[in-house]
Amino acid sequence: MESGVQETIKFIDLNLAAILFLFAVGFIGGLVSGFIGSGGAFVLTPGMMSLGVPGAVAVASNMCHKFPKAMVGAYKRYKYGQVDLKLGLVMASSAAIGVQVGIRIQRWILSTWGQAGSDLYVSLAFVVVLVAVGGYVFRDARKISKGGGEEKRSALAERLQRIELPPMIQFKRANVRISLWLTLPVGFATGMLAATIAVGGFIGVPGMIYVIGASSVVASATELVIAFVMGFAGSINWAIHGMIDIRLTLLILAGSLFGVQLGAIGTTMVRQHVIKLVMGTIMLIVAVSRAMAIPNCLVRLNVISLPLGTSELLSKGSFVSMCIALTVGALMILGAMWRSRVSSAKVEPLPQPSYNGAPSRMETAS
Amino acid sequence: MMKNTEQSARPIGKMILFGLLSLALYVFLFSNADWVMRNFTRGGVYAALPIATAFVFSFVHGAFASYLWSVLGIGVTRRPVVPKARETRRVVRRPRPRPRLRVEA
Repeated sequence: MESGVQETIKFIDLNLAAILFLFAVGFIGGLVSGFIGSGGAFVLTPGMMSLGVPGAVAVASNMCHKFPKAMVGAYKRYKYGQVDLKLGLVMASSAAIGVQVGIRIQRWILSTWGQAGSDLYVSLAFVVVLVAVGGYVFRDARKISKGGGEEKRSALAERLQRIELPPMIQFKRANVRISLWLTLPVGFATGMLAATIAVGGFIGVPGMIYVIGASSVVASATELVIAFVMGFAGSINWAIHGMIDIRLTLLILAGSLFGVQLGAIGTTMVRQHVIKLVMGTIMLIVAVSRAMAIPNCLVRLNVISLPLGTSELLSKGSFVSMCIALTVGALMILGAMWRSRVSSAKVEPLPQPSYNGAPSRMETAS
Repeated sequence: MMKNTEQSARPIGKMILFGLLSLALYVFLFSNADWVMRNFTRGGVYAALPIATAFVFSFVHGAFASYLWSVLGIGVTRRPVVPKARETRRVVRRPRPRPRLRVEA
């Protein structure tokens, strides 16, 4: 097994196009991760596989780039005062249990229904979770945007924080006091999703915002701590089995370390609801992408039949729409940063008193 | 004048230093790719090699990336967004004077 993997790794052709592809996807994925706390992995793994990298090596090499990227992003955002380290570590510990359960479920599905059944489960999980959570996040971001851009703590989080179930934990940076027991399901779900679709942050960040009550900026920054802990543990596991192609890891890292820091800087330039807007948009486009993969899974399970051309078209469409999700997210971030930069470059007029005597709020970014 | 001071404070020297270090690390790794791949994929205790390499590259290349953005003038343009303190209702107990019966004798 090990020699087989080594042989495969040796024969991967790293030409200039492949190097530029990995660098570019690394940069865009890093930008999105630095801004919303997760993302990029869902494009990188299939992207590497399209270059001829075996699936396990692609997953392993991707994970090995994830933890240093998350570490650099978390450090940068910690310096901006956005990271709640305690919340990140509490979430990561329950996420680790979720990962183990998620892996067991995956194995059971694989042994019962084979690879097609496993792919169908992953695609359905993607679509259900991303449509439900992504739709909610997107709607909330639009509502905040229309309401002047002021983010409020969710009613659910407020209610949960009133439940005095010991041990109660104070998360200073997130400004939250909540029972430990109420944080566990969020961390667990994050780990489960990470083991299923490789992007736990799509549950972790909204969970920290709407269930625990952290702000968007703290939730997305804290997610980087969770990503670091989980990525580090996963990378050690893959490295022990000799599956990491360090060349691929470092090529992705070359781009993503630029991206993750730019994304982190971006969070200081835009209003908080932009984080939700970018995250919701990416999640909904990725949901469309995974929905396109479902018919092919059903074909392989002999549930339906499709013409070969349609099947190939859906497969390509699924990958292309994933790339579109990441690109749209990156463009939204860069656009918001650009607008913020332009508006801050203008000479700001003195605050004018509003009708009630309070100084009017200056819009610095959309 | 202000602009010139800001520009001179930009870490050009550090950016060049870490950029060269990062480049040297990449050149060294890819020029010895066969040896690297042979040993880094052995598994077991050799697992420390890819993990340590990822850490070293993230420190050096991460520092280079950070200095590059600073040199390009892309940095924090306003105070970082820190969550506002949660509004809590403080119960202030005020002394309530109660009428007391006084007997003046």
